[in-house]
Amino acid sequence: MPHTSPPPSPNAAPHAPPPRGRASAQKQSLSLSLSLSLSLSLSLSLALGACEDPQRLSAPAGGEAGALGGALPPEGGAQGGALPTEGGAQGGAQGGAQGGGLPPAGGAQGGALPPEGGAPPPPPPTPPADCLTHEEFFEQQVWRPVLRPLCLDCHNPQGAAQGTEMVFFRDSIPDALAHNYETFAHIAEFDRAGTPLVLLKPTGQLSHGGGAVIEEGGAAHEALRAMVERARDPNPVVCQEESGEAPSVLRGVRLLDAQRTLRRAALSLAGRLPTADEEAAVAREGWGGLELALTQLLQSRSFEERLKEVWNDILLTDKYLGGTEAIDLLSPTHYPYARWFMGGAGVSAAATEADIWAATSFTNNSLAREPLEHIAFVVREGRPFTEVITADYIAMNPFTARLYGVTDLPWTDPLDPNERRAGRAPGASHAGILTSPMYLNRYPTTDTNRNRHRARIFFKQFLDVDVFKIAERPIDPTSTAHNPTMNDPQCSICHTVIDPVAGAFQHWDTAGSYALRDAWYGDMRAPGYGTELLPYEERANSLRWLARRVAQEPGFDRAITRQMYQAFVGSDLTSAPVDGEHLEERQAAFEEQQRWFNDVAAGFRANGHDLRWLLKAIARSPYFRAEGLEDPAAATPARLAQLAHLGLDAPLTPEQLHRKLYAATGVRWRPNATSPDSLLNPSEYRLLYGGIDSDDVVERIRTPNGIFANIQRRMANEVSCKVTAYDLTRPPAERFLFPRVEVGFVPEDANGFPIPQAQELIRDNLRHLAWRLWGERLEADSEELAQLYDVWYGAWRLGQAAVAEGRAAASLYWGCQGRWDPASGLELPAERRLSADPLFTVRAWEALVAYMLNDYAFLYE
Amino acid sequence: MMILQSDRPQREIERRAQALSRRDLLRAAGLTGLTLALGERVLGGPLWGARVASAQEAPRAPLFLSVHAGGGWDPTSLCDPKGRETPTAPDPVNRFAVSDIGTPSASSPIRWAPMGQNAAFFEAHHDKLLVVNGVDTSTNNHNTGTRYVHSGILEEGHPSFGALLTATVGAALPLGYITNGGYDITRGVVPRTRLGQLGVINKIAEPDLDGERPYQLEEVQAHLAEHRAARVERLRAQRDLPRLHDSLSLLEGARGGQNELRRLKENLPNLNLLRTAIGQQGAIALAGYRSGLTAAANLSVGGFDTHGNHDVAQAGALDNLTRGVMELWAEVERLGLEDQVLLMVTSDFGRTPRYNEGNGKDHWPITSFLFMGGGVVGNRVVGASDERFGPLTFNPDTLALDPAGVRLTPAHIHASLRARFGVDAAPVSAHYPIRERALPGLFG
Repeated sequence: MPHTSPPPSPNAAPHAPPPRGRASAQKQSLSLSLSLSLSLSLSLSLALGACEDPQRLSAPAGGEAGALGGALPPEGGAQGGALPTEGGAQGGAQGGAQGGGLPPAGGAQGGALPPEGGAPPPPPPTPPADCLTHEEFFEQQVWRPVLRPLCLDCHNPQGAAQGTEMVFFRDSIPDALAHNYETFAHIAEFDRAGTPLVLLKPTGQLSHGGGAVIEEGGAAHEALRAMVERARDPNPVVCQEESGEAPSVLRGVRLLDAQRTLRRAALSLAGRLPTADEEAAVAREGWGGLELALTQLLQSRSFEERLKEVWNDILLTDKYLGGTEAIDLLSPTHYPYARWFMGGAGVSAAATEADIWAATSFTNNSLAREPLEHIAFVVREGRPFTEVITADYIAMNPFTARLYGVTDLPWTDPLDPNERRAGRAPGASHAGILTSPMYLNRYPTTDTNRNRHRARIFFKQFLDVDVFKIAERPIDPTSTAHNPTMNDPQCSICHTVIDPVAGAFQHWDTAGSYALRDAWYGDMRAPGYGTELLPYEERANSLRWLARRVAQEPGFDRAITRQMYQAFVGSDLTSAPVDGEHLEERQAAFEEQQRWFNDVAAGFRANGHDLRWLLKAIARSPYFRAEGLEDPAAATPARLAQLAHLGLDAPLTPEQLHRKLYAATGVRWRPNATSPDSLLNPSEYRLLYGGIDSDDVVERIRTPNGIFANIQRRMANEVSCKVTAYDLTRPPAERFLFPRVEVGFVPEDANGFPIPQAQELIRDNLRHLAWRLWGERLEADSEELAQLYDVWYGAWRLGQAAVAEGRAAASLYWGCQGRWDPASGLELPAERRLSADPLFTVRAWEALVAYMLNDYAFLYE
Repeated sequence: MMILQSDRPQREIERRAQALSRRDLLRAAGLTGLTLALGERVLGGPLWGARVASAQEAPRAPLFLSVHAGGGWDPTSLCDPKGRETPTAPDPVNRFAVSDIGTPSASSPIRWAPMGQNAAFFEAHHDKLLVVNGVDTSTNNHNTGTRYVHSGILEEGHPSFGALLTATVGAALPLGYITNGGYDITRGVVPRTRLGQLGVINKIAEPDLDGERPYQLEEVQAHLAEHRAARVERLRAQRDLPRLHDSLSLLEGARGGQNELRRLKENLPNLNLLRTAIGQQGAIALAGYRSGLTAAANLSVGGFDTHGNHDVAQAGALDNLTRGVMELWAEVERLGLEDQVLLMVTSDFGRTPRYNEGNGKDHWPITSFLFMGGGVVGNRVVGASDERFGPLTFNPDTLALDPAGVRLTPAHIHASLRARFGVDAAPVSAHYPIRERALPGLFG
């Protein structure tokens, strides 16, 4: 049933701040699991370092399938096999627009909310000190004004006071405030001669490495004193709930309306423009129509491709695409059918060399993409996203099934690499992607690393814990501790947490093969999770046990939510402000976003870990839709500082730009019909335009540089040349860019008298282009439309003059003629070809398209 | 100075504003693109130099090339050699004999390990090499170590020295900071450019040409440019959220130097003649420098994380490194830029003074730095480690070893780099203070 309400608005209920005087975002996080992230924080592994040896570039998959000539999988040996696919739980409540908060009904098209008085909202009120819980008092009266500015520089895991019991975390570390509060509460228990140590040391009355940093009797001293009293009071402070809500930081922010939200979501989630049906649904039903459109969008094949691209940015397993890069990683002992295509019972005698080449390519690339395809499968089947790591199966296609020796999966088409079913490899212990040989090879281990690298990656990807970030502290090479990971405090605190998880990977060797070990290393902590030991009966399936244990953690929800936010919003969540101007305003913005983040992460769980629900929640959020201020006069420095985290600000990735070009113009940017796409080709622009190769280059560049600028300009020139005349050769109803005009439409006659009808159609077409390429709806009397008309008209006049003076030809340049179908490279029928341009109209449109493709609105949307 | 602790710190905004105002000034003067020398002089920045076509006209500010040996090299297998006294000595740091350790002459303090191509490298270049040994990174963490040796600061959130230098001497350069990996965090003080492969350099350098033919008539191009500038101003007014406003400014900043890129093409050597990754990466950076476009570049080579089969794997990686540096320096000499290019070579950290069960070596916090060119006085060694590759303390005033002194850290080295390049006086570096002071005479 379609929803008819607008998405969450800054002023409305869904993620509204809590009532005045109540918990901050950090306080909310107090209730979240602390066990791992806290205990991770004090030390650094001796051997956590990854051994990511850079290897050669891998090219993207290529080639088409040839007939395999009746190729059959090998006989025998299959112990695993088909699994029922209907068992995938839908994961609780259907997403829709429910979790994450439904906005009030109304069906408004516009996302912008009416300003209230036009003035920027006041900063969030500071609750009266007598109505604060202990945690709130600590945060507002002690941590922010005293401990953070005066003590943190030394009392942190890297600081001069790292060896003391008072070690605080920076705000950017998850659950830092909870840890800091508990640390202070612990220190507050100690007295010297009846006076709390925490008052004696900072006033210099007791030996303190930092000397006297606060004045006895001053405000800071009083705050500490009051906090000590509170910390020693076993009774919590209970405050009355106050009525009313603090104003949202986002009040007065102009948001995309439903149509433009649809467009942005279609481009971001699926790399295409909205279909006419989707646009009509939104026009007809407003936000309810958007809900329907998003549902369709998230079931499309193009969304799956985008999802795999996003997850490859995280997993980087596309490194193994091409050749036999993936197959070569498999041990012949453990995977005797890995090269099934090389002959034997599985291959028909009639198979040609091309058939075998195609089978090789499909097998390798299906294997390389196994983790990504498993993720896509889980989402497509509507299964809980936890099955990405907990599943006791892996998504197989006919080619990986052959490779694993699985013979009993019922394929509709045994040669279709896109068909997927849940399967079990013989002799394997599955835990979703965690046990995929591709995942395990991408994060390799060594005899001395002992899976610690894998554990670090696992923490980051599935528990929202960056061990490197938390566990940074200087170490002393002169330490003489025996077995430092167990006994040296520099190392052991972190290893206490990391090593049990590393132990859970024990049965998967450096090549990712499964081999049940008799025992794990005695000089490491026992396999498990935190202080929980791996049950003996789960030994053989240790990773699945770990995954199912971790799937219960709020950290899993946060990890997936954060990574999807980063992928689809294009930036990180804002971090806690530490110093600088407008601290209160920025703190309020941080807290509000943290509340939203925690709400959405919790909603993800409440909705059965339905990834589509999560992506809809992100797409409807103001963080995805913010585009400006309703009242420009409200742009005070404080207000701008507060809103510094809003807006999608990075240029499209090469993959996104490639897809957008195709979606918007109908042609691909490539040198010729059979060439690789220029923006995807590592030998052309993929890496130069900030992309990755999943091997050596694994981090995208999102800030434009001079190379970016020139690639954009070349793209605009080449694509406008390629598409303009070709589009005009098509029937108007099939045109992407020029449905309203023809080659002969000129705005003036030979005597310079205006032709109003032609001018009107030209303007109509400009409006079409503005929406198609820029996502801007231009009114007939808008300034932007007038400017666009001037661009076209000026180019036309200049060109006409040049033709008249003989400085320009009366025909199109060969490469820009409408002579070939760009998709096939074949020549068009003679009657359709377009090569003459005596009126210079085609080249004027070409210039205009180049201008528009090279615009910020096209490159950044 | 106002500091915003956000994803886009205020200093970045200010830097962009400065870059934009510089461009605006140039436009007002009727110039196109970035005429660097004039711009810097007018705006009171350091003398960067004019557009150059030859070494004689090259900019006066040195080019900083930072070579990162990724994964954690083993200085005891290179420039801080520790040999085995007897073939049966237990728990050796290395398996080669002490007697096989090389030196260019009896009077030279430089020593090298008898592995791979070390002898060829040190024999050829010892006279211009400054070796800094016994540097304590105090970490075994790849990320932390890499950050520390390239920024001088252990904690995260700090730009590399290359980024700071570029922000100081050429913030508006279109290819100011080229990166091929290593630690290339900029914190937004400058954009970084990935420029490792240049098969498409002609297309990038001449985006308006299809071969020799312009895509648009010259007057149409000018017409579009005029409208584009007006459109940017309209967008600027609409994009009133700071992040959107900034992103538009960044794009315009990147476009400011579009026309300058064709000079890069003119200065590029035939890359096919260069055989090493370091050589090719360095040649591109040198071309950028000679074109007046580049102030710093990160070069990188991997394969040093030798947890297994150390002697073979480390020797191979060191070969790649030393051959690459030799090839790069040959190109520097061919161009006559020895005094204008400062080359720094280092790695995440070092490797343990013992072998593990897999004949590998694990992570160890002590490392070394090598410096060449840029006026550095060579044939010198500063700092040292003991026989078990532990750090020895030194006197930061005299640079002599001193049991009562302090440990040499990357912070000392970066404080000295900042001082040498004038980065320490630049406003941008004030946001990223280094706790140690510069070492007098480190570079000679």
